[in-house]
Amino acid sequence: MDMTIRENLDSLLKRVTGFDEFREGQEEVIRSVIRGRDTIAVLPTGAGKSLCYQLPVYALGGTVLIVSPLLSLMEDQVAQLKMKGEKRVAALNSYLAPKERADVLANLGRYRYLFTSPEMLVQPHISDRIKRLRLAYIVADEAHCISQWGFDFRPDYLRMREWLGTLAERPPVLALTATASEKAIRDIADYLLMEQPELFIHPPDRPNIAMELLRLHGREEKTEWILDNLSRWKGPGIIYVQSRKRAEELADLLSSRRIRAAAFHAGMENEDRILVQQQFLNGELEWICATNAFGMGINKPDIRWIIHDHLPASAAQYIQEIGRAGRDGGQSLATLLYAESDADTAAFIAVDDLPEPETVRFIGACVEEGLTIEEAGERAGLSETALRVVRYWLGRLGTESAATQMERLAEAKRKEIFSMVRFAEGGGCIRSKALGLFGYSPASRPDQCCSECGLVPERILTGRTTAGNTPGLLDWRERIDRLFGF
Amino acid sequence: MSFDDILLNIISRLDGERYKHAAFHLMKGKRSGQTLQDTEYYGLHPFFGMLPSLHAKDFDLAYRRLLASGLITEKEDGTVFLSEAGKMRAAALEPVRLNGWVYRGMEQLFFARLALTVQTVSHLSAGDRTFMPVSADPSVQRVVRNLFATVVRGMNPKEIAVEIRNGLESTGMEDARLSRFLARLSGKGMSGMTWHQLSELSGLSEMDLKVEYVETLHIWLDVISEQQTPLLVALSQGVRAESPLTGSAKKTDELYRAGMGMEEIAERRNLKMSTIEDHFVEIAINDPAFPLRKFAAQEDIEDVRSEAARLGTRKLSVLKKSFPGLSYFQLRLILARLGKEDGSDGHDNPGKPGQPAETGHRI
Ligand SMILES: Nc1ncnc2c1ncn2[C@@H]1O[C@H](COP(=O)(O)OP(=O)(O)OP(=O)(O)O)[C@@H](O)[C@H]1O
Ligand SMILES: [Mg+2]
Ligand SMILES: [Zn+2]
Repeated sequence: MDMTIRENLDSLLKRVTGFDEFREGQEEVIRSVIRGRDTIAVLPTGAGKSLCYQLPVYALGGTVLIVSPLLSLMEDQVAQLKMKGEKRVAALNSYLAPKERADVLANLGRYRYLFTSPEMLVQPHISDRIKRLRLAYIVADEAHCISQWGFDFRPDYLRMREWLGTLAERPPVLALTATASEKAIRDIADYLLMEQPELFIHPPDRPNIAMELLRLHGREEKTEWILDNLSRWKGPGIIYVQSRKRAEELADLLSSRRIRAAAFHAGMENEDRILVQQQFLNGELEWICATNAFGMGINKPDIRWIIHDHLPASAAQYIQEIGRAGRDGGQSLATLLYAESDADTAAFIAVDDLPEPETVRFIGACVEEGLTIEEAGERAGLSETALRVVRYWLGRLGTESAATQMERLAEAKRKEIFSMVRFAEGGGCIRSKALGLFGYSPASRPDQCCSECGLVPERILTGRTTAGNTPGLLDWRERIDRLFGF
Repeated sequence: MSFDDILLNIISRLDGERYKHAAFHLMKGKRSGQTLQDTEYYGLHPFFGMLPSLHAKDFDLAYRRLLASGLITEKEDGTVFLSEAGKMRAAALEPVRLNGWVYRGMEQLFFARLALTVQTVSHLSAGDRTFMPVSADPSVQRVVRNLFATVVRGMNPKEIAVEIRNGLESTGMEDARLSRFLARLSGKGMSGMTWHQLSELSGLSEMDLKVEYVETLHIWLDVISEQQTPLLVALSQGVRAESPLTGSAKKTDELYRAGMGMEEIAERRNLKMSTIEDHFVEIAINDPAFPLRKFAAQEDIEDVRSEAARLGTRKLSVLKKSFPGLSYFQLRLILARLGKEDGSDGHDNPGKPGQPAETGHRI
């Protein structure tokens, strides 16, 4: 019996993906889903979690509902599936024009993979349609977001719980993430209303990514270090930065040294972002200087180097971001550039968008006087995200508790930053410390472990021999010829 | 034409009668009664909706550059007018070849479809079926998918390339400009350039590049609608605005034609009276058979006309002083029909700064 399922799964894998064998962790997860169990899979970045939700539907039939926290991630996943020739895939999100949305809704039953956001799920007319589908199972990708952001920036994710509760016959739920502490796993199980979920937990260790930690004094020194080192060693790589301005500044400085780099951030036109991503995937760009708008879901196999120019706001974010490196299994490097002042900046930015308790009280009072929450938010000058937070907690807890909730949220964020600061201040094996942030320790110590254990750059990076040259503007007739392959 | 020159051009037409916001709303294609009225009065059709996603910040920078260079000045009440130097510069500007009123930002859709088509052909003819589409917009993807099942199906890459090339050739645009334009297209192993990259390479600012790009699209689309070559026509399907009325005004127009009065329409549609008035002004601008006489006495209409001509203004606040007995709404309607009924005051050359453009740009 077991034997036949095994054979079937292997041939299914071959038929659907062309891969010969499962990677570590994948098969158990897939079996568990096929058996109809609620499942939580914690597998390292690049381990192949997408496959875990793509395959079981072939054995079960029906539609898979994938709930994704980030629009850009959703778009990437849909594009990647389409690239593999999957036609029965659609995304139901706020990007859709009304007509397109109506089209998708009219054809819901035809899709094998239906991606949506928590925000969409709580809209009654959409939710009702989805409930009538034959759902094979429900997937929460990047499930750490449930606990990472759930308490503040993504209240709608919490609403997913309410939505799940309204399903008469709830299909199994599969939660996927690379980074989840024990507490996060409990949150996930709780918020997704899971019943005795099967747990498959692997530490978020990536032995082929060497970890480097450098203490520098402020921004200028970081800039100098980056320019100097990137002239000596080759990418491809990503520099993660705090702000749009910094992304542009570094990209321009690198370009002026004939290192092909571009900025990527949420302030750019959508078309330009696609172009930058495409150039990077094509190897036309060597470096991307990005805010956290770039990352999750990016699957370029040969990224060799991730540099952090700022302190990420959480351990999960840090692990996710360095996880873009070495997805081809090749030796890679993650460098964290840390200056003492980064701690304050990170703390400031993390709680910046969180409303003050006083603001929540003010809004509560306005609402009592008969204003709508939007009007109240406008009076208080709240951002859209902040307003979402307030709306959710006011609705659930009432004014006073919602106000104190804000304090608790800010506290939780500060704690998160504080543990990152302790991590960045160093002392001891960096890999052990990183895994320790989630309550694990490394299974073994790779040869190129970390800058504390000792690194040999030559064994990790490739030296730069010649400076690249930027191509000029092609004559338009020639460009047409080349585009069409003449 | 640079962004600054476009702005100068617009201000030269609004000379002394409007605030800077009028130009901003115009470029963004705001569908408000005021902007539509301005477009009509001052012959600003080429510029309407030319940059739907224009940022206030970029606009302000250009505006301040014009102020600083002494080409424009603001009066005490904030209205903006040209200095002598500004007038000279405006008079020397080339005629604009934008056609915003007709395309209203939809030219971007044409380009997105073109880019996806070129990218797809480029990859397929290199034997590559897997690539990241340059447009994530599902409606663009659907149109292109349909094209590949119809028009493109019977064409080989060579024919497609030739159609695009000949099409561009026949627009008569200069090579350097077309090279900047095509640099935005992607294909196998060759990605399009971002505005920033193009700016570094060409030495033009990003804003100037965007203006040039929109104008290039308008010029090309105008030519396409005359030439009717198969692929380009298919790609430009639906990018020309069919009705000059905005969606909501159209509804009001329908109800009015069905015999409803203004109050009734406002009630039925649950809209404010001022919105319905905006709609009526829009209808008056666009409908040659608009029954102006139902809204104002013939005598008043004529008086307002001659006063407007005498003062050389279309400014409501000025005219209201001469006609305290008429409502703003009545004045707006009369102005909307100005020059459109018998004894028209005529129109001037298209695209020439300082004067209202000919209404040839209208649909
Ligand atoms: N069994 C397999 N054999 C070979 N390649 C595989 C296998 N499973 C997955 N892959 C490949 O591994 C790469 C990474 O997979 P995927 O994007 O699913 O990772 P992930 O676990 O979701 O990572 P992240 O946490 O960063 O999102 C993909 O290119 C995928 O095609
Ligand atoms: Mg993933
Ligand atoms: Zn170590």
